Amino acid sequence: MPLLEVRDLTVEYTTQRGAMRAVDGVSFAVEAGQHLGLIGESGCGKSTLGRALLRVLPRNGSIAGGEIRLNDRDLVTISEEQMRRARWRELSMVPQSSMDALDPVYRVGDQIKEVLTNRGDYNRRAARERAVELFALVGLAKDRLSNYPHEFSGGMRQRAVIALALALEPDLVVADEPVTALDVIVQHQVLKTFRELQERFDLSVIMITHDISVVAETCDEVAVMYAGKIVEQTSVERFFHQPFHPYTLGLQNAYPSLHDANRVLISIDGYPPDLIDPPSGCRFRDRCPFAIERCQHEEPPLIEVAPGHRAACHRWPEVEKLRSLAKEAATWQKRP
Amino acid sequence: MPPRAVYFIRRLGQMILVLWAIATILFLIFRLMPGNPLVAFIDPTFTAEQAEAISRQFGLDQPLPVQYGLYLKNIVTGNFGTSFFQKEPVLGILLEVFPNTILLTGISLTAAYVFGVIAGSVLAWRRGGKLEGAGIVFALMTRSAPEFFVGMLALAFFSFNLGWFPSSGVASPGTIYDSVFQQLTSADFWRHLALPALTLAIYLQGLPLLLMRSNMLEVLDEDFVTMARMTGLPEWRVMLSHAARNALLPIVTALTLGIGYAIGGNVIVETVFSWPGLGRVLVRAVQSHDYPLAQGAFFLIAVVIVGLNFMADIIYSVLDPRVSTARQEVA
Repeated sequence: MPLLEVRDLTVEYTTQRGAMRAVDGVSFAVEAGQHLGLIGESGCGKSTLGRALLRVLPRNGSIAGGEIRLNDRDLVTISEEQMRRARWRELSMVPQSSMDALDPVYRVGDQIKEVLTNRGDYNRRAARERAVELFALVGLAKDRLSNYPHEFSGGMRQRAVIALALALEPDLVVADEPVTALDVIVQHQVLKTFRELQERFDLSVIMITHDISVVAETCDEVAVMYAGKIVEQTSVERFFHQPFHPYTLGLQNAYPSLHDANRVLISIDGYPPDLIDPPSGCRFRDRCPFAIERCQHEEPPLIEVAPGHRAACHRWPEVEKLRSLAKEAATWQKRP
Repeated sequence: MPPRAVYFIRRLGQMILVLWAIATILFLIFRLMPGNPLVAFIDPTFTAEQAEAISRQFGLDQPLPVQYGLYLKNIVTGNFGTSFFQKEPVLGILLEVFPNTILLTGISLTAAYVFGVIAGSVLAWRRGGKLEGAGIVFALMTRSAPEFFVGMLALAFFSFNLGWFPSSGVASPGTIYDSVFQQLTSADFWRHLALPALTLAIYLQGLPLLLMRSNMLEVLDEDFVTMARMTGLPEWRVMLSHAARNALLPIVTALTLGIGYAIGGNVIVETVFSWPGLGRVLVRAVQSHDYPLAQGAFFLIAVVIVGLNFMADIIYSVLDPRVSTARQEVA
């Protein structure tokens, strides 16, 4: 049985123009110890999905339907008080803007201790020891515990937030773009820390990112999101070598490859659709070079195209042809 | 030296500079005013020699720089001269009413800011509800009402109609307190204080209330508040120790403005309620051309404002760890 099972999760934002479905009927599962990469461009609902798992959404957001099963309970239907108790002990989060996630008026160590004593079973003394331990875990010196956040560099703040996320040994950590704001060297250090922790503590992680290289470095399973839906999910090997969905093909063209240095980078033209009034059929059809008549009306279901590999594309049986076409820049320039 | 100590000493130095500037401006204003400052002293029937003798007695025959030097020396030694009318040392007169003003200002300022901060937080927390709408109307109305008007209403209703509180003064006739502590613990003092303090507090609470509300709304959207919620800390803790604690910082800045308002408001409230304080002494001194007394009162009021501002700055540096160190780095 998987640790986390999300079924048909729908999250809506109330806007002046009407309800916006940022997450629309998303289903996936995370096994214990698994690292799931959630990938997609900005505004496709990745962060909303992450925050919905902890039920901490912006003021105008709410879960409109679905189930989030974690440790035999549905997090969508339990009371706010039960949810509050589940937070950080069962699942924690490294939020997108970790740089500002620490309260500027308290010492970093005190903020970690606050969580340990208020949410965990630590007394003051044990909390102090645990804070030192956590800092060591993410490679921060213990005398830094008495610093204020403004005395930390960006990378250090990021590590401190990761330390905080691990404080109560949760089963699952949702890491939302944990390295996006960092330079490449610090990125690498932070990701390495993550991977070590995963191995040491059998931690499950949902890594939200728009950076394919982060997925390559840390994840064993990848889900691709587009316009509020998961369009493809598979293992990291298959994701890089046998992708099915045209959006995934396009994403890979947009990133440089170490093995194929001469490859020209190709971007996908256009923008994700308006989620307040989404188009009929496939949501990627207007940007997809392979779209056919059927894509206009009929929404492609997310089906198993190979063992452990799900994709949502009507033309998946012709995938070999699409893959070779997708490598050519011309394919992505002319619109069908 | 720890950064906070350096900050403290630097602010202290600035405070002394500001007071020197104020003393200089006061000196010039009183010299630039038309007419002879001794006009109240010198009878028209005096001969020119007599008038000159009095002028010499006050040092007014000396050239301005010499007068200025004497003036500064006198201020430093606490000698503010003698009142023209009461024929008593100015300092004595001022020190006698000084505690009344400090108590009235301090208590109403504290009450106004405590109330304003709590009410503002509650309004922000109850965003969009009926309570918020009513609260904003209340804050705007009380903030726009002139204090003499609020004061008169309070007098008419609580004092004359209901007879709950005395209408004037700081104590019942004949009361003498041995110490400030005794004064503070006497019911009679609080009965006298109630209406003027209420009036002043009503005038002062609008600023912190409205400011706290908008600060809270802003801080509630900050990432560290979301983070505190995510960690599953109880809601009251998120609100108090993270949201309100940060929203409080600009309030302390506003407090320095509030101190100015409070002293300005004091002059009116003390007059309406016949409260024997600095403001009333100042008004009377100006009306009767009692220059030494007016000059002394002005200076003492300036000392109070600058001193309270200094305190607000120190409070701010304690509340916000970024202040004392950040300024260090810039310097």
